[in-house]
Amino acid sequence: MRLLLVKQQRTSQTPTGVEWSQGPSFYVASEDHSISSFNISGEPIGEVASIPETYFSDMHRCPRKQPVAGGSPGFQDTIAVACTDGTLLTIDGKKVTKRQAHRGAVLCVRWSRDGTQTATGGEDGLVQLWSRTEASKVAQAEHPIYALAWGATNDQIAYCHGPFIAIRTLHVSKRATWWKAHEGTVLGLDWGPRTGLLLSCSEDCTYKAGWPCPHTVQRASGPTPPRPGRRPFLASAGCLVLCLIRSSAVPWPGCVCACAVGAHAQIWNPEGRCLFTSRPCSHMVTSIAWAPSEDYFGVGTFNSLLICDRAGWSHCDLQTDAASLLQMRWSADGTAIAAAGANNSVILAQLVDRRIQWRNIVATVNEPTHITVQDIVAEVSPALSPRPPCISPACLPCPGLINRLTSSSTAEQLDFHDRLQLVALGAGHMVAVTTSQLHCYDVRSWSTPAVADFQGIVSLLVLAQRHFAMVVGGQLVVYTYEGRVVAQPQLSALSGSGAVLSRNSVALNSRVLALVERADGKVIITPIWSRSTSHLVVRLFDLATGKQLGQPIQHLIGVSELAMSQSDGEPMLAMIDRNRGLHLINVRTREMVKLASVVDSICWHDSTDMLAAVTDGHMDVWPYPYGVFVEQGCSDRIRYRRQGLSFGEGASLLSFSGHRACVRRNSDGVVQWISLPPWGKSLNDLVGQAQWEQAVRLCRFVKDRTLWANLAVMALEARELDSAEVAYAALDEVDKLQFINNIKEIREGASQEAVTAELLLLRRRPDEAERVLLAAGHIYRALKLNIRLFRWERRALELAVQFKTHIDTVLAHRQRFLEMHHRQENIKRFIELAPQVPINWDTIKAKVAEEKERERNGPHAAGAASGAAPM
Amino acid sequence: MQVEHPVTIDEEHQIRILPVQKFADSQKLANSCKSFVEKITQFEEGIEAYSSAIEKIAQRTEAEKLKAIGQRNMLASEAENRLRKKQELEAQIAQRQAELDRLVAEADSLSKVEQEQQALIQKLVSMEV
Repeated sequence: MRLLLVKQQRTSQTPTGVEWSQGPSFYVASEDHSISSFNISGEPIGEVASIPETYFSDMHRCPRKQPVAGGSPGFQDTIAVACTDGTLLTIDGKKVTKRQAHRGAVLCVRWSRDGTQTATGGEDGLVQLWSRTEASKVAQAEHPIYALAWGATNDQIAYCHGPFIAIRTLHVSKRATWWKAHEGTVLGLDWGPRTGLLLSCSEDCTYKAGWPCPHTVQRASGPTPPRPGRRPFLASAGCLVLCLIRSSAVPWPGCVCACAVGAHAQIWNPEGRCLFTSRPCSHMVTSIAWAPSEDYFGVGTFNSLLICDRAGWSHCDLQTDAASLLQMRWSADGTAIAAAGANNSVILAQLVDRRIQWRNIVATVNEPTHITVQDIVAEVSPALSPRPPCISPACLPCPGLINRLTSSSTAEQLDFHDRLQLVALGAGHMVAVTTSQLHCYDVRSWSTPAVADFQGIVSLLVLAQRHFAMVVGGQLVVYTYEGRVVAQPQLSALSGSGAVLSRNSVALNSRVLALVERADGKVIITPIWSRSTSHLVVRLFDLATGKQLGQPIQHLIGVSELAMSQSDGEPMLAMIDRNRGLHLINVRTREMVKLASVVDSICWHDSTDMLAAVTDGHMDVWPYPYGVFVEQGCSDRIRYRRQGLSFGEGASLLSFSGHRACVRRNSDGVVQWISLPPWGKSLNDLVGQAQWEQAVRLCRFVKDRTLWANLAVMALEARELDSAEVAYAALDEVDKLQFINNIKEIREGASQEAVTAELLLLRRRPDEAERVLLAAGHIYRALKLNIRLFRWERRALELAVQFKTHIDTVLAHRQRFLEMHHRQENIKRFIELAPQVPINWDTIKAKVAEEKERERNGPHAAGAASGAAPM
Repeated sequence: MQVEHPVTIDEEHQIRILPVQKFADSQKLANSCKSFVEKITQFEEGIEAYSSAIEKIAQRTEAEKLKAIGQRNMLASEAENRLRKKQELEAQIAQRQAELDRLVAEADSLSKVEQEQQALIQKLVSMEV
């Protein structure tokens, strides 16, 4: 990735604020009392407003009107402007509303995310809230408020005063939570609605390194003694915020800037825990802003502009001579940055050379309207690629053409009419979204894309086998690769802003779409604001009908990542909660099983149902994760673990295809490839083709317990008893082996349901097994099942009495059991019934033999009941 | 009051109001005055030429002085400038180095994957045989 300086436009006076309009243009507020409009090439178009009596300090566009890509350049926005004489201006078209807001200058102004109110911070240390009609005081601080930011749900405001950052929850009579963030005055603040991470930049000149702290917000009645290296900061209402700032000279690996002593930028999560501290820059950091996707953020300092990853390490930088960048804003599609330089210049920079990779295909967005696609495999083995027939200079008139033919004969050059907003590659397809059109490519033929028209700013693309999901202007739409809309699920009121949907909160496969959203559409008020994200549910949608699929899945601890199995088998949803526990959900039955804890990231294999997870220093792969629904508590046995990998905390799993997984380290952005044994995929393929003998041979060849365990659960699920027997024998699990042998014996003479019930017993589901037997009319088998499980009174006797049969059998077995264990009868019902029913083992045996005979000759009952069996 | 010497007639028989002696003296004075004025004017011209020349030199000196000051300033700021340039370049080097490190680490992991796959192929081949 690279930052390209599109234009550095000199202005007559210092620009103090920049802001993008709805369309492809931006406004610049300047010291010459005017606000002028600039186009996407960075050239001035004209003046939109002039207010001679005051100077501007900040401005922000109302986000309520959804941005329209390629809209007309006319002034259609509502802009709030902060002025140095203490007034707040709202410019709506030609109408200018003026309100006296603060004593001294108004320093910052931000609209809430729903665009209903604005918050201002002033030199007098006040934070004020302005609705259309009224004003209210939010907070009073000792220092001027240089920056403020709204939380994702419009009920929290973060603001900075001096070296502190404070967060105030609205509508709750609680004082603000605050902590010391920097050594110097905090100058900029931004709060990402998706990640919930807070960015801050400051003018301090200290050298710090921040470490994640395990317990950041603690309820404490008294002061806790500070541990070495930690400094407690007292928050309000008995809450003690431990903020870990270590004043040591340990350099943080991925630094924001590699200069000498100076100012630095930091990332915070909203518990006041510092996740990243940059190395000090040479000059104070004056502006900081999240990209709309929140994958990166921009940092503005003296003469330079940096793009950093979400984890903090820097992607690229741009050196200018614009002096300090007073303000910086991303365009709505996240491809361009406009910044105001203190040296009387306006800067427009464009992100170019963004590179995305899927398997062996690499797509690079070289220019705003151009993509180069390369096939790496074809490039390194040129013998495989078709060579151009004749490359003699005489027959090729254009030297550029020769160059192109010889250097990159396998590269595809794709040109577009309009600017590209977002490009995604995956699942055998590439989707390129321009400002007005949607281009869907198949990776096998680049010449014939499916093209569809659409309107709006795209903030998210998630690709799956047959469909892709796209968030357009706050609305989630699922398309096919032919460009047809499949589903347009209705989001509830709050997440209706769609802006909070991120790659981790939307998952889809060929049939099901899952997304995370809040339980109710209202703003949730919780005593500890940092826990307010916990009321989340996962909603599922059927893509064939576009309707919601059953009830939402409730999860009390918030969900931080969702992933959906990609193959056409049983759809499964993997989910990481805020406590970093990994859960697997069977979408059909809604059964939920916990697979692992301390999980950083997950990824499904792109062709089979294998699941990979990066856990605490390991790489875990479940070749057949569905097994946890087949056999309880087998998640550790069917897991392949690769140890001794040092990814550090927060590593993310980028891809899992073939026999390789790709992991990106959080600390410095290093991409690492991990080779995994190919057996899991081979086993899945063989079982998918029902080649059980081959599968057993494979396991014998590999001699791996994990693989045998996987084969065992696969065979159980497929009722392939012979393979299961071999597998359990190889695993030395004698009990299960015996049980399976037993089932095989039953299979000889009994009905299908009897086998089903026994298999269900092996899966530890006796109630289901009993239901199957009763539905098939096998009362005796159901009784016997309960007797075997020692469920004497509640089920065995109950059933016998209910169906008025085999009461003596139950009593006889009970009696034998008591005699064997030398115990007295202590169950009331048995004592009551014992004298009434005569027990004769001969009659009982005769009755049992009769039952068995009837079962053998009664295929009718078996056939009728098989439909009711839940297998 | 009565005039002492009224009108007189001189030797050339011209009527004179002033006495002859006085007339000759005044004429002498007028001549010497004239020559004095001439001399003064000459002197003034000389001075003017001289001062303009001095002025020229002063201007040149002044310009040179300014230039020297400018150069001295530039010299002084050059050190700072270079330091800044150096920092800028160092920042870029660090940037590129970080990127290189990332790529090297990725290449290492890929070559490790290749090795492992080769080993696996070897193992499979030897098993088959």
